[in-house]
Amino acid sequence: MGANAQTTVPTFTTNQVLTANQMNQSARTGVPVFANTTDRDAAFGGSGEKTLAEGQLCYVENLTGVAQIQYYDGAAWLSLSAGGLALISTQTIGTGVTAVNFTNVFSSTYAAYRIMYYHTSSSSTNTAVLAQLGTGTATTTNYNSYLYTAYNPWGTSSAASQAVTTGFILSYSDGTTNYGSMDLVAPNLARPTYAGGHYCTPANGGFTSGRQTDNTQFTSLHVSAATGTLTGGAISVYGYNV
Amino acid sequence: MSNKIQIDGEIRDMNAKEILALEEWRERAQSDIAANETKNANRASALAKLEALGLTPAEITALVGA
Repeated sequence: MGANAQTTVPTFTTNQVLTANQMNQSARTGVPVFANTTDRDAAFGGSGEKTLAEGQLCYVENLTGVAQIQYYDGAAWLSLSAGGLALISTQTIGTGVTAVNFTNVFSSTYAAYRIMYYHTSSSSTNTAVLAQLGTGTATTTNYNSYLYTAYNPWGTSSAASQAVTTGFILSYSDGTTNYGSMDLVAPNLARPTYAGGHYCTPANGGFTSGRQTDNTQFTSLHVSAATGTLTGGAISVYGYNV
Repeated sequence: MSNKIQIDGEIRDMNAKEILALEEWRERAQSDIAANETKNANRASALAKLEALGLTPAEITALVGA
């Protein structure tokens, strides 16, 4: 049993005189808050201070997100991981918009990202909707992107395909409501980025995949139709670790 | 009609440099798309001709896939 392990969770009564051990046990089971990891490390083991042991929790103010909550595993401090998808940014698509850009959505925090997309209408009745990576401005070259329409129309299994070199094909719009979802692997690493997803419209649906071959640490996302404008709906970017 | 760009929720008109970049990559994308639509049309035509020759849909699928 480690030094932080308890066999009872005490409660005290009115006028009860507490021993130092009881006060220490009560004080030690709280979650201390530190401004930074330097303060955290200096807070244990000194004169009059608790000895750091397995099971110790703390909160570090100058870290970000769920990583601020840490636990000591007996050998090192580790940060909690939220798991699942973490929403980074979302935008409602305006009316008649040519491009929707997200700045600073890709970082080293997450290994992969998911784009969830839908629009309510597009000005073109036959256009690809592309997701391009960037470092402020969009990179429009060195993509190999493929869209495979597997159900055209729904209820059949006829196929068609599209391929472009200017961006990842997020979806293909017939002018009406359009949905797409795409995962991006490692856009913020200095190596090629890989993408894969699916899309659907009231008329058909299919799958997408692609790669961007630059060894660039991308930070921004740019969504545009290859022709015309987009109206309504929303685009959300989530991060996750694998 | 102006091209509107939406950046982190804020909408404004595209500037000349942005419009130029947009038109350049759109021209390439539309060229890619047109080339593939020709391939799709050729495929559809070939499948129709196979059906006209008397192949059943199942036979066509067995021959060329979905």
